[in-house]
Amino acid sequence: MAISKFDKQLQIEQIRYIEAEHPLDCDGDPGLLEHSGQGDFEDRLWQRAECLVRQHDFSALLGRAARVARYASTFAVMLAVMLGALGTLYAVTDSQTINIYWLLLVLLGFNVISMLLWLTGISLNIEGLTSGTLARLTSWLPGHLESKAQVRENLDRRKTGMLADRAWLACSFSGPVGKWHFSKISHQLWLAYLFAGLFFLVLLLMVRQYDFTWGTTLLSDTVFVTLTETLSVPLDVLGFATPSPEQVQQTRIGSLQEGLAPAASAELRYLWAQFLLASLLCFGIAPRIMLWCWSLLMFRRARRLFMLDHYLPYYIGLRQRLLPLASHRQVIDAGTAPVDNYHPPAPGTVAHTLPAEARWIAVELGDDMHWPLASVNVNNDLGQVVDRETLAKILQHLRDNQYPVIAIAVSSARPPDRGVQRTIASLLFGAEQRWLVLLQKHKDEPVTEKRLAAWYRLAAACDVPADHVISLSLTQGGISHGT
Amino acid sequence: MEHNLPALPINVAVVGHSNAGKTSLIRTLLRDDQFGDIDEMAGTTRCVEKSAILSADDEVLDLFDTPGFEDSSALLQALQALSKTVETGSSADLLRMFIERAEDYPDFEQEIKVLRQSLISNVLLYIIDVREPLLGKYSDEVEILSMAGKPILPVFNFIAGNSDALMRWREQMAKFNLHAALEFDTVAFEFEAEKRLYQKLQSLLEKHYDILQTLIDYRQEIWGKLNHAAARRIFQLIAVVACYRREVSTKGSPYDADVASMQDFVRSAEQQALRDLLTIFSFTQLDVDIQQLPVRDGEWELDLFSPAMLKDFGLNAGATALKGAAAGAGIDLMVGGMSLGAATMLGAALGTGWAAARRYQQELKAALRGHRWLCVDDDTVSLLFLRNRKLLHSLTQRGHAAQDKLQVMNDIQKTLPGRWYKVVNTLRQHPEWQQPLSSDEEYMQLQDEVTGWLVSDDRAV
Repeated sequence: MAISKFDKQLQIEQIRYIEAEHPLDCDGDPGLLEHSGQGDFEDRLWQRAECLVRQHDFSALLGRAARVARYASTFAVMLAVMLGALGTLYAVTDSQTINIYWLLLVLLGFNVISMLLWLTGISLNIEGLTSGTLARLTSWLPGHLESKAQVRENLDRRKTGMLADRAWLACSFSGPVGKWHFSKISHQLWLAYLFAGLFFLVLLLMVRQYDFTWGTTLLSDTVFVTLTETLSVPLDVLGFATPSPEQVQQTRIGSLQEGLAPAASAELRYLWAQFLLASLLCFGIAPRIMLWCWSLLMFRRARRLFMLDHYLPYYIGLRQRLLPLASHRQVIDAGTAPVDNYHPPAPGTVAHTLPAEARWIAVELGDDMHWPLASVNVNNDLGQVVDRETLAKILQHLRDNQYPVIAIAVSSARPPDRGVQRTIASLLFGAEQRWLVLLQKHKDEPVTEKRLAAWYRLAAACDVPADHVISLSLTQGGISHGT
Repeated sequence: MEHNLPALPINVAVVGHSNAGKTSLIRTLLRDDQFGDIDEMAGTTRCVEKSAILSADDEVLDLFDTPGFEDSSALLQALQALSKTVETGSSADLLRMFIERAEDYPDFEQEIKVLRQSLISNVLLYIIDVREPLLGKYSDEVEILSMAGKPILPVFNFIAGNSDALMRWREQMAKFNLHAALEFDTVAFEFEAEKRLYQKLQSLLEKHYDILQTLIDYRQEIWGKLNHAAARRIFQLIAVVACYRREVSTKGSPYDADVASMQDFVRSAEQQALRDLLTIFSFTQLDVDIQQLPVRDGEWELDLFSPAMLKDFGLNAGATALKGAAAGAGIDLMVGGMSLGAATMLGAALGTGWAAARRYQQELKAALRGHRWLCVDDDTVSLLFLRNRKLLHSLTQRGHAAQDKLQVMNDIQKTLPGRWYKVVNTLRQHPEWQQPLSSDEEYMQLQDEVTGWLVSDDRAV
């Protein structure tokens, strides 16, 4: 048999309650947590829940609450049948004479009051009136089960079962599902009570002869005559025989029934018996059946409309795993160049001074560094490389004039790359003394170890000795030695 | 009728100079801070890596993370030199020929990977670090990329606080006729910017318009859900803390221990909420530095006259009274009305008394024992709300490439929503809501109200 959507959701919720205490793995089906599931998010949750139930052998545990509920429901129906039967027996077995209105009151009075309370509760949405004691019991049970679960923390299996029961109760007996579930159960029990009452009443009326009477001390006789007339209207329409006003008067306690012919007396008994049974059917059983059907429909609708709370962090986390926004990475064109494990040398201990005749060339300094520096003699400045044209121009100048000492100024804040390295190498080609000046906007500008190492790596590749790599702060204006 | 649907997925090559933020962009789009390697050094990404952006089960965008250009000027010169020696139909053919002769150009291994990927992609996202100066090598990069004959979408990265630089870069790209560009900060993330990225792709790849629109809608829906889930989680934290109360004896000195226990409760509740918030936005504890919350104690008092309390109690008492009256009426009927309705009245009175006793039993017991109720004071609850609102705001604006830690501090000077204290007071009157996820209608209304503040209250942060 296909499992309903609600039952699936119920099982998913049971797993959520269990996982709130201890997350479970779905080891046997690793693909389930990958992007390989089928269907929408809830389908995938269900597949996962199924997998967990299989792996951890949870099926008996998860079904326990429903099983217990079925037993409890059967017991409650049996109790209602017993009460209905006892009520009838108690009301009619005392004597041969039945007070017709008293019996109606016993069988229908409480039923009508309870029906009215239920209708008030449903129309005004008052939970206490629609579900009553049952609701209180089920709202107390989850908390009780939880505290039991905490006490028995070492008994994992029992704890798991209790958590699953708690989830089952929370889903089945709260919100709209709970409201209509309670209603359905309550109408069901009243129907059992009324059917049992009707059955025993028919049985007794078949095997025993009763005389029907009625009487009143405070009310006038017309009240009951009118009441019978009113109640008879729908019964007449449905084809039941009902007593006429005269026959009602004849039944009053103290009326001289003895004077009636046996045939008339038997007809009177027959009419009242029909009236009694028809009233029970029309005013008790039929409305209850209708309300039960309505509750059943609404209960099914509520189950159909039941939604998992996808906003819970638990479900958000699972969504990210079961229905990811992106798939995993995959290398499609691997790099072959070896990783450079160059480590920068320790800063030199011998102080070196940049020769005064050094010619300066800046490489890609950036907009925030003004070139040439104030401390650099204009005659020693060969310009800044910012593109292919400026590079070509400076290289041409270097070829035309052989300078023995070249200092390359770079911004230490910018990472060096292969292009910068090629540029610097070409600029230093032919120089006898090579210097690399790492410019900082201010003394405290952070330069990380990694970046510094990269500049040293570049210097080594361009044959600049490590002690010819110096730092210069623009605000300081002076030249200091390697960091 | 058979429609000629465009082939999926759309191949998007993410290209640019080394360290421009290509991997960062992909991390942020994937919401995955583990994607690729991010480093301040050039050449961190040395291979082409593929990831896909999904819309439910459909792979819509394949993102290709490529190595960065490092020596575009030399590459351009090499291409120009090659073009003089061979005859090619188009510049794309020239690139193909260059790739075929890759062995002759070992220095350009990285760049050749970029070119190869560019030629087989539908669109190129050219990532620009706007903090960089306008150098010739960047113009060379655009010139080389345009030879692939594919639409190029410049993406300006690290734009926060660099508006002048951004303007210069916009003008620079305009010189290459690249007027359609995107501002997307991979660190200071904005979901709207991500949406604009897909919208720009829609305009560049018109035949994929519908599928991209589906993707936009899907991502928007998920983003909305994440925000809503996070806001609800904050409300649950506030509710749990505001509803907290602990019966304490006024005699003796166990008071300090009670206060310490309350402080532990609040801090642990916030830690748990923080974990959930980080999970919701796919971050980890490593992303956040949280300053300890100062928790102060207050005294819980029953507000008998709060409207919510009156309504709640009135309905329950009414229902129980009705049921009591019904039972009493049954007795009246059983004695044939001899009791003149006394049982009905008594039943109603007993019903009301029962409802009151059930609702206030704990308060009554505490009063009889001479105990009082310890609770978290209003300032602490307010601070908790403010700093979690700030945290939510920061998480929604944090790219998955961000390297610095988010700071959750206590010095927040922001205004509270107008009905804030009313909400807190209502929460306080319902200690039973300390069990999270109450299905109570009033609880749900408060949850909707506070969630609404958090989701829409950007200006307040």
